[in-house]
Amino acid sequence: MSLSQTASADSFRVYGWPFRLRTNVPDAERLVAGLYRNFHAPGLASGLAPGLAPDLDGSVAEAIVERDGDSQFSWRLGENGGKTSTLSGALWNLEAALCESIIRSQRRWIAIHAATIQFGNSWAMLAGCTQAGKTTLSLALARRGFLVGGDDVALVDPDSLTVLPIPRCFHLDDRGAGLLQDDGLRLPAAWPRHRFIVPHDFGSPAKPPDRAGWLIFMRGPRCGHPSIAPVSQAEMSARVLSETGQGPLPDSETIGVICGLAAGASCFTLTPGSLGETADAVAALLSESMRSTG
Amino acid sequence: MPSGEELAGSDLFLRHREVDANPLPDETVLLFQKDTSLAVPINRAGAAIWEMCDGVHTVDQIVDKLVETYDQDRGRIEQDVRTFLDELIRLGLVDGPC
Repeated sequence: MSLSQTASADSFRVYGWPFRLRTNVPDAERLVAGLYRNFHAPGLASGLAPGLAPDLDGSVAEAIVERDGDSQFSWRLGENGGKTSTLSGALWNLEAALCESIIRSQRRWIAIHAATIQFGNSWAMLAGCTQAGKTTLSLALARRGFLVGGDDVALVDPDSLTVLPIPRCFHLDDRGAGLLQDDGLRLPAAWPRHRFIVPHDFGSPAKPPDRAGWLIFMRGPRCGHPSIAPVSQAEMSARVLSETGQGPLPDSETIGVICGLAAGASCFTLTPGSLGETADAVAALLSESMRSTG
Repeated sequence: MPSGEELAGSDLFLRHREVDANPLPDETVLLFQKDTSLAVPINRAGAAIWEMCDGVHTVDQIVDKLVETYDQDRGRIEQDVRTFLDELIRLGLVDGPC
């Protein structure tokens, strides 16, 4: 069984959690497929890892995106749903609800609020509160040749500490898009029309890594120039814990997982400056760190 | 509750039983107070003090131990130990003084 196994053209399975898309909007089908068929799942040896959401009762969630007669778009997933005036609004809401469902379905894997950037054989995880700038920094790093697993949340296996980025679209606003274009990023052709861009739009790794080699915590406020400083593993654990929601494990076990993650990584805090300088600084940090560890 | 300056040299402290200590390879420790879900990172010196909050080591003995390890003025170390113990008390991470 593959992690992203599909039962049919409109069915998806994300880390063990199955859903079916029903839509009367061809673009919605294409965009959703672009996200959930191509996400950066590390090659777990035998399909589903222990603790990933099981298909317990064979039920498959139904995700709906429809164009209504009055030129509105409606979306629904279970009890959640709504109407928006744009397809991108409906897709963003549906995608957020799908992410929440994927997280809630997990039996053991815990969700950490962090972007995942591939460098060599490891992930660099960028943690930080909402609005810290994880999305724009991730995409600025993509412009510099890094592969982005996700810009928002990742699952972590409590036993192996394997990191699985949850597939999400980039939650990019006009200001962020402008900054990125100023930095030299070419946004996909679909951006102006649908505003639904995904990691796969910026490249796909032959083999995604399993473990996190770097934990970088972004903190504000933004300064004139970026600064990066080493931080102790205990302090990083506390910071990452603050970005970890209530999960399936007891608190003490969750903390053990986060400490394990920090113990195996190089830990830094990042005070961002301008986007370009910040991305250059992070890229240099990763490259230097890679050189110094051979 | 006494402040650090009010602690007696003979005071003893005991690690709160609802606190998990998570040691890390860089010798720092993440304390987690299970009652309040409070996570507190402490550095190497803090970890050494934490270990000596065992109901056996007095404040003076804790200071003596750290003076052996750290090349700093005893008065400065004593002040830091008292401030740190005061913080552990305030956060409910240790019981005492007793």
